[in-house]
Amino acid sequence: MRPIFLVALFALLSSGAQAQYTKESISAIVTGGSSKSWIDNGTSTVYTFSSNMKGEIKKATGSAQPVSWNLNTPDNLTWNLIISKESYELIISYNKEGTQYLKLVRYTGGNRVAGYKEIKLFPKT
Amino acid sequence: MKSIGNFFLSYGAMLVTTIGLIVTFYTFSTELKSRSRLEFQRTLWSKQSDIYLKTAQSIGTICAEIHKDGDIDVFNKNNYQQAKESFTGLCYGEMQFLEDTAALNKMLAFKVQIDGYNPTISDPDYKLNVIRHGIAIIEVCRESYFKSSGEELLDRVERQAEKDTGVSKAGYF
Repeated sequence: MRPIFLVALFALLSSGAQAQYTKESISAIVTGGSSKSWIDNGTSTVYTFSSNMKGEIKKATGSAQPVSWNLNTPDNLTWNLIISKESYELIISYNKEGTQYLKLVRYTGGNRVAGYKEIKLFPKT
Repeated sequence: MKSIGNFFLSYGAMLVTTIGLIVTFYTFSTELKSRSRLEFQRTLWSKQSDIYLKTAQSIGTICAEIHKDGDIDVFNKNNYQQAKESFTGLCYGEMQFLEDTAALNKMLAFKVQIDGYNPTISDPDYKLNVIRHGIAIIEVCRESYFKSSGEELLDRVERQAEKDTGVSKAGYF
């Protein structure tokens, strides 16, 4: 039972092995090609990412703070988005309406359950 | 001198018997402890194997459903939901009990991926990324399983079986 199951899984994987997120494809999503703004609807904070690895964060009140951003991966599977000095696990997802959004995940206190925090960034219209 | 000789003649047999009894009891007690420890390890290993298998089965169902080509009519929501609930239960329950940090971290990363997964999206990168996360857990579980089963435990189980049956593994051939 188990070998069949594993073979089936690897078959699934190999059938789409050519498709995979890369730094370039994720950068294109994050920046929309040149510059793109995303909004955290919970806090009304707007994140803007540009293809020159610069950007800004504008909270609901106050002026925009310039930031730098980058992407890295330990295994070509999990991608981290570093905004200035803050590192987030980046998950590209879609909501029920089919809108692509960015899920930024952080774990505080080294605890992946109790320390779980996420920010959902939707394209700013 | 004669009285010492008489003493040994009178009590020697009793002394030898007592020492014999103490040695036998000590050996029995040590053997029992070792056997209980081995039995415990064997039970834990078997339980661990069940948990890893259940995890792999849940992931398999989730990935198989996700792999369906963005066709909402083909996607079996019930299968997916059941497997997802089972996976989440394992994540917060039995896997926490095993304290296998490497597998648990991969499982939590996968959980973040499948939370709010939209089956109607046909973006291959989106789908494959989730499936890859699932397969990464199975690989880690497999490694942990073989590490914990280990040569050491298997050797000990075999040695114990040889002792119990009096037949060595080599004797079968």
